[in-house]
Amino acid sequence: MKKINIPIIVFIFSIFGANAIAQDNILILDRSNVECIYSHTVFDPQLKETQTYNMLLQVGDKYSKYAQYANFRIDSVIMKTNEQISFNAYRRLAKLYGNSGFVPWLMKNRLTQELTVYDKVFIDTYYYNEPNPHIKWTLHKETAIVCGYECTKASADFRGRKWVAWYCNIPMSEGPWKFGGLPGLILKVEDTMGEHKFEAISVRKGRNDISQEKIDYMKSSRIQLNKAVADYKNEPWKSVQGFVRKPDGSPEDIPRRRLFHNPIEKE
Amino acid sequence: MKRFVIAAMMTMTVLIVSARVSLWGKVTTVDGEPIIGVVVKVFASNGDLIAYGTTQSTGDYKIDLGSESVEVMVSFTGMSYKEKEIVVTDFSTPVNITMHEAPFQLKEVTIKTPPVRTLGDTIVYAVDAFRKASDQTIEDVIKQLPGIIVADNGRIMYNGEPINKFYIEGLDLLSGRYALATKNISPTDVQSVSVYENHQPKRVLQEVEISEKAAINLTLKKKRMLRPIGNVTGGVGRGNVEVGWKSELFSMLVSPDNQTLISAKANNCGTNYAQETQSLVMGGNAIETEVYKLFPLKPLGVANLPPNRYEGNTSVLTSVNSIFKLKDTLTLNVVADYTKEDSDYRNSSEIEYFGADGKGSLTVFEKDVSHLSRHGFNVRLKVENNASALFYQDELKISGQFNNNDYLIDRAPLMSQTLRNKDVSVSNRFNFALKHDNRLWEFASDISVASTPVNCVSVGMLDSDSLEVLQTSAGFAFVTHERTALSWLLRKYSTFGVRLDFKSRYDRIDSEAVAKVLAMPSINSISGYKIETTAVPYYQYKKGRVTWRTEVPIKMYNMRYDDAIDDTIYNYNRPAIEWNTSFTYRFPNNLVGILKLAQSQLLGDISNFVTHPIAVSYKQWIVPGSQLLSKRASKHVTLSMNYRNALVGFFWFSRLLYGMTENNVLNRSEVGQLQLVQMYQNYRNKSRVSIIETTASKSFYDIHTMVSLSGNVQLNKRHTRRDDETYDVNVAIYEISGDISSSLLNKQLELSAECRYMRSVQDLGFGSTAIDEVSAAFNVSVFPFKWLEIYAKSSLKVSELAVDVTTRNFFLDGGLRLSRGRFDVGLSVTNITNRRSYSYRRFIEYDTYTYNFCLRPIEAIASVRYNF
Repeated sequence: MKKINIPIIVFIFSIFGANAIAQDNILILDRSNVECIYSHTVFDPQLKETQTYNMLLQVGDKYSKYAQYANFRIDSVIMKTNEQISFNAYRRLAKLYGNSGFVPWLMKNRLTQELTVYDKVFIDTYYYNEPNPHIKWTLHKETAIVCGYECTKASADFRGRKWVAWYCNIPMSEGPWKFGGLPGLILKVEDTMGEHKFEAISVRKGRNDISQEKIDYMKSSRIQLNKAVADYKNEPWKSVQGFVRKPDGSPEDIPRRRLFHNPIEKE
Repeated sequence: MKRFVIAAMMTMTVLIVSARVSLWGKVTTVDGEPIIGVVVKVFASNGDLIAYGTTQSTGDYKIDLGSESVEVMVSFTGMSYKEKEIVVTDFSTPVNITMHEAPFQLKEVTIKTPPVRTLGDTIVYAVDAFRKASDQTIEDVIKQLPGIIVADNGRIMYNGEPINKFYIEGLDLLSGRYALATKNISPTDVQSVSVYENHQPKRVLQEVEISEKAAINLTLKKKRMLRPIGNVTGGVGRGNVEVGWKSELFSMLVSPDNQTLISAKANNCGTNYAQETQSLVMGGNAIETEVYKLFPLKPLGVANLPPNRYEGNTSVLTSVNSIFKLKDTLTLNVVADYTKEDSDYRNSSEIEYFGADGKGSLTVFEKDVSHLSRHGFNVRLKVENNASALFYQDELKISGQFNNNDYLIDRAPLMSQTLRNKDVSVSNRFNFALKHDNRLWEFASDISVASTPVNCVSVGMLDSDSLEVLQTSAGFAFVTHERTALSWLLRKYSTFGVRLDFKSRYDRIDSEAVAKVLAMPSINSISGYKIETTAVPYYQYKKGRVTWRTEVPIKMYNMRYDDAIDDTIYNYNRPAIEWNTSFTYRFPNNLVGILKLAQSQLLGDISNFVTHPIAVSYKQWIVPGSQLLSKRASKHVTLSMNYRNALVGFFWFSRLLYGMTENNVLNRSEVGQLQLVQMYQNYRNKSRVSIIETTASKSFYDIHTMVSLSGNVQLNKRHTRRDDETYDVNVAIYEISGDISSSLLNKQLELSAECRYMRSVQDLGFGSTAIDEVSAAFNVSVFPFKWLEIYAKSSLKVSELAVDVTTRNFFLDGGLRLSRGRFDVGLSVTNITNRRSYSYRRFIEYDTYTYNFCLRPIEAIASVRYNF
């Protein structure tokens, strides 16, 4: 494997950042009708740590997008700026808007019912396509108020976890992440182990562009990518061993610690 | 037979298939265009949802109804289309629907902010999730945050430690005087309160110098930025004595590059504003001369009640604060305060001095009326560059205090006593730190000058118009402190460094006491210097969950004091070696344990050589020195543990401390009817202290309730001398407290209650004496309408005045507040039960004091506040 040093890695990050932040590199696919911000809380039972991400679901006529809310806010600033934003300016924006680093994001073509998932392993970005999954929900009669909306309970087994969802009367069969297929927008969904919880904190009328960055992601499959992410998060040092070097050429001592991780899909 | 079976199975299959019913069709616009994503719901005749589906990109839908249905109701809903409902009885033909455009009425946007979010060492509390309708200031909200305790003076403690910084939108506008913000900013202006755990304010020292203290940051709502916000209040009322009034202005302007906070207030209703300008962080206050420190401001007692219960006061505050962001990391901070306070209070006391046989050797009664007048000012100018590689700061500070306290003391004969003192100081603090590659260089230089030009105590007999005591004194101090440090990052986890400290202090004390009890004037005139040179090599190891830091301060003291009266020169050159080590382990589930061991030495100063009596009140004389340089050698071990789970709102903190101190001087006192003399005597002695404290708090976010409990045990073992006897003293203080606050009925009812029990036990070797004290408070606020608050606040203090003699002090306040638009109109009534006196008993230096304070009468004040 070719040996490179840290400044070069920083440079690579800069290039990725610069690609992501030029206005010309953003492709507008649709315009949202409804937007919902979800708080996604993840518990890692091995590290016994909890992290929370604010995610934005944008639903348009043709596309729906589920991505980190901070990215949407940063993209909005970039779209309003005629000039290309520097990497440092991007970093400042990321800090200002609470960007949590790379968080996997999803784009759904509502016409073809095809789902594309984007994720990252170390510094490489990948995607895979799959048909919009059909989740066999069981409807219940229980109701609860979520984010000010009266919601009805539904439950399902999906890819290794048991989920309880609460959907409202907003007439769209959408929800956070890959969830959907209920007769109303899903405002809350959590697994029965208490490891993942998505809960709406804001629902609003949409009027923003649904956009996608023109980045060259590498194609993969769901099983492959999930395994690669899990391998990297569990033993990150293996991904960079011998790859990262100090300025003097000696190998960098990479901490052997597991990264925060708990996959939503177990199967 | 085989053919028959196959035929029968095929027939049954056909029957089963034919028994399943589907509903299908197409949904289009009036123009015939297919509509995608329309939700189709099928309800049974009893209204139950039995099936559902959505339209595809062609507008087609197909819903399997399972078994044969006779009649169903079908609803078609889609964004931007008018809902359509039809009854379907025929399932053999497609059900095609045409929908008409109509804007979908999305319910008014509802935002529910998560009450607490954590991001590494940062905890973010959403203010709206914790704010009760009755909360007037952001301090009221901060008090309810789990894991945080706010003291009466406004000091914020997190995990038992005071915070080290208070930021507004990331800028340190107030230089530690953060009560100016917390006691004034409206919680409706604040988006969130963030707690930065282990906050190292200097970015250049992050990951190098570990801080155990936390910082707090207020994030304002975006719409409250870039414009002046605040309030103006005016009020007038009536008590039994005089017309009450208050007038307050608070304004703040926050923008990314500039913050300005202005406060101008005055009242005579009992609220003391001077606290708001006090620095609440370590090292924030100006230096004082040794003379100024000798004289207590209120030598005849202070009630353990809020001052507004017993002080008749007029308080004035003017404060202007600005911070300008000159560049990304460069700021200019300008601060100016002026405070004025005029207070009156009356009290009586019974002092039981302990004696050799375990009984009170002497009981003294006194009664006094006092009038305290204070002025103070403070001006600061600070430039700071806080970048990750370079830190520098220069702060110029000028401050002054001017006090005058007049007493009328009824001790038969009637006496007057006047304390007058002034203290002015000027200081400049310079701090610099540079990080380059693996090296870090720090340098700091502080220079301060303090002067007490006059400090005077005069006591006179009113009957005979004679002067009993006239104590005059003056002091001067010149202090410098230079620090430099160099550290190396050894590999990835280790830091080795050396800190060099050079402190010098020149002091001058001049005092002269003329008194009838003295045969000749008591005069002190001492001057001299103390130089403390310290080299502190340290090593720090930080890897993963473990942090270990060890320091070995090597000190050299050089002192020279010249007593001009006794014509004596005291010269000391003493080395000292200390050490301290701390070991921190972060367990995986947010549990942190810290073990500290330390051995330190503290050598005395100029006060050790002030050997002639100084009068600090009509009865109290002190002799601060014994001509021997005092030396305190201490060993301490502390184990503290804290746990937090902010998401479930649970915080726990515990600390165990054991310390042993060896002293070469012992305090000694001699008592008489009209005289208490405190002095020091050369006598080697040991003292021990053990402390166990724990605090736990839990927030139940769903029911808007917070509960906290704390307990504290403190055991002291030491010696004291009274007259010519030495006593072994054991003191134990036990304290337990709990409080609960809750917001019920959709915030229409707010309740809070707190209870505290304290037992002080003192044993001087001939049986123990105990004082019990119980206090409880219950507050209730009712909101019959969103714009109207009716509240009542009650408190009960049960004090033990003698064996089997207790007194119950019950207080009740109440009022109402109407909020309409930007206006708040309020009526508050204090001391509704019109309780006019308050008694309590406490141990002070092993003697027993029983105080009785006269209270302010029932008072009512009506006020109008305009919020902008």
